[in-house]
Amino acid sequence: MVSAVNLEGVSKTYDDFHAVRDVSFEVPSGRITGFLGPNGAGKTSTIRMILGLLPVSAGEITVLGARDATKVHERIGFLPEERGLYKRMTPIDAIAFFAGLKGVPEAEGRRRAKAMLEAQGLGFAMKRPIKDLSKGMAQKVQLISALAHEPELVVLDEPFSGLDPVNQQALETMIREIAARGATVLFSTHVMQHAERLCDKVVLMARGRKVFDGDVATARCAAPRALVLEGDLLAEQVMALPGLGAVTSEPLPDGGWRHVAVLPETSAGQDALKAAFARDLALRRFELKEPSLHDAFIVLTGDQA
Amino acid sequence: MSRLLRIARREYLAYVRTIGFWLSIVALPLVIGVSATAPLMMMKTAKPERLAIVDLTGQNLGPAVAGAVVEDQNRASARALRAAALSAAGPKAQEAVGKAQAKGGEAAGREALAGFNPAAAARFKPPRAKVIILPASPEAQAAATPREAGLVARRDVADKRLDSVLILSGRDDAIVMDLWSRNLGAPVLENDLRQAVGGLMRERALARAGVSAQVLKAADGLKPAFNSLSPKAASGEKVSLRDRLPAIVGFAAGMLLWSMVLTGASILLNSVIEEKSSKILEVLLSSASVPEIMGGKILGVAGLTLTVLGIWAMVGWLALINFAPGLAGDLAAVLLGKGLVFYFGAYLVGGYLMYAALFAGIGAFCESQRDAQTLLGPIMMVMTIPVVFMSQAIRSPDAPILGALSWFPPFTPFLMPARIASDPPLVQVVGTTVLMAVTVAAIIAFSTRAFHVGALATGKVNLKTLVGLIVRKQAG
Repeated sequence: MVSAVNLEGVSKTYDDFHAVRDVSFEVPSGRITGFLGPNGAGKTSTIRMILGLLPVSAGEITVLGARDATKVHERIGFLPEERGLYKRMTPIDAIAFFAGLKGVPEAEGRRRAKAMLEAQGLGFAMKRPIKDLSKGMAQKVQLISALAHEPELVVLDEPFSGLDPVNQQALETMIREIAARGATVLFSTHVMQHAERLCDKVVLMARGRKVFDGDVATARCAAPRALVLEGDLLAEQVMALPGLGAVTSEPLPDGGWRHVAVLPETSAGQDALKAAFARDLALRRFELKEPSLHDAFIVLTGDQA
Repeated sequence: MSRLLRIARREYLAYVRTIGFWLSIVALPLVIGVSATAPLMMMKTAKPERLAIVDLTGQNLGPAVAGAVVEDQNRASARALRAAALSAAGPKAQEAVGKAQAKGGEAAGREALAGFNPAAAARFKPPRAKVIILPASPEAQAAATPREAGLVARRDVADKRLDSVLILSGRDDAIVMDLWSRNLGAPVLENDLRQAVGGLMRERALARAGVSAQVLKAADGLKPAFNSLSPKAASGEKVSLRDRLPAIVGFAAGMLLWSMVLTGASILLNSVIEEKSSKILEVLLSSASVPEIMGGKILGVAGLTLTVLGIWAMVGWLALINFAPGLAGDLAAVLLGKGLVFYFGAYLVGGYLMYAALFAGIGAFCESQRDAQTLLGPIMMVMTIPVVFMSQAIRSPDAPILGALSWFPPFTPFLMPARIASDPPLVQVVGTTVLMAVTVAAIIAFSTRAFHVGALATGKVNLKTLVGLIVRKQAG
């Protein structure tokens, strides 16, 4: 598979602080890649290096075939973590301006801006000053500004932060549409649900290092499956069941306990369930829980998360 | 359209479309106009002071004081006519009007002005009289002592029948002036009356010593014939106002360049701070190079500065050719004849680039005006130094301290325009200009680097950390 972005042994240091250490990964063309990690993991520094905004301290980055991303700026769309637009400008002017910087002629930029604003339900606001728009509307305008020149690579730094659930859903739809027209999407987030729903591939960072690079299903395997048992049974009774690993327990609001027992790779949980029934434990509910990306994230990032 | 031009156009339109921009264009001429015309307007609209003189000296001093006050007002009117002649038709007309006045008084002076500029002569109105002398009330005139006269004067002033009453008492060398006035602070009237009475006391003392009135008048009229000469004068000898005009124009240009450069650089600083604080700079950096962003912004604000300058120049020129065509002609001759306008243009470009680039670079580190004040405080203090010295360039453009300060590149764009009209040595003109150009290039290089580092920097930055960040930028 052709990669849109390729990092080879990339590091970034600020004086004695190592923000990114020896990171290598690929962002496949035409796919959605999630760039995950807790706050301070080095995601924003890596994204800035990919875009050519920061020089690398070591290693090499290739973006759309170019060693220097600034040479292919016109083919990249970027939404930074902290959003900002010219508050006195109208959405249509702002989008046409940024598209113009990416080489789109003025008239064409305005035409695309109008069409994209209307498609996002913002047609009514296209000539209002941006300062008069709600935060969600302004974020949509900024995303459209990053997309109006129809980039081959779209880099979104924490695109979901600050959005309400409705706008988060709308943004997920937009990201799928971007990928559907063949563009490559790389987005950073620390909210695993978005990555789980959207990504073909995830790269996980912690403390400046890459800790995982692969598809979502493989990532999930980093975390063990678990057997959930609820009822009037004590932790000691659960720990005494066969084929279970570590057990965590919490009280239920309506009385009784919820126990989550880690299943070793060799165990499917049947032995434990059979034993529970045989011992006539007061079991109200049981569930075999497959690991989520969130679980994998916790396991992979360790105490930094 | 290139990215640089797109950024410049956005920068220009963002400000030109605001009401504040147009208000600021109107504000400065308005303030200058009001400052210049306010005293005149107040004089024109002020009611003349109603003054009565009570003479208890028994030496007929009162009528003499009244005559001196009227004569003083006539002299003021004659001065106003000569000033009108200068602004409407130039120094020659002023001289001719003065000679005509000396020979035939006010009417002759007006006729002389009409010979040069009939419209100005018809338009001329003598300044309103500051004082009207009214007779004192009979009780005051009948008073035997200053105390009695004072009681009546106090009543007349309090009743608003009169604005002021002057009571003269004593004799010869010991005249006492009691001035009752409604206006607690009437320094102008006080001064005029003191001068008039003092002059009369001197005149009478000399008369008592045997000096005749004719000799005294002749002595008072004695003035040396004074000629101001200079090899630098246009005539090669006699210095005229036109010869002095370049120095005045240079000073005015220096001040104008200083304010324009500072205004332009401040606009740029605010623009960069707005983009930095609202995180637009990062988006811009992902779309254009630092030289394109900085160049575009500097160019856009330069357009604003030139728009302001152009509008002010046009309005000023229209005002001059309508109200002072003589001065307009002389000004044009000075600006174009000596090529000053081209020097001013070069220094404006140099000064603007130097400070605009510096302010843009520093602005990239600032999230707010407060951050900027911390970093720019020392620079602003240095920028006030040329203002202090610019006015000295009118009197002594060749002063060693001015020559030395002109070599300091941050001062060159302001001090050299103030001195250039006085023909400083060529080596200074060329040397300071070259040094300024080199400094501009160095500051642009430094600021470009600072801009890139600052745009992505977070947290508070002081001068020390700013330099540290820039120096280690290339370390990656």
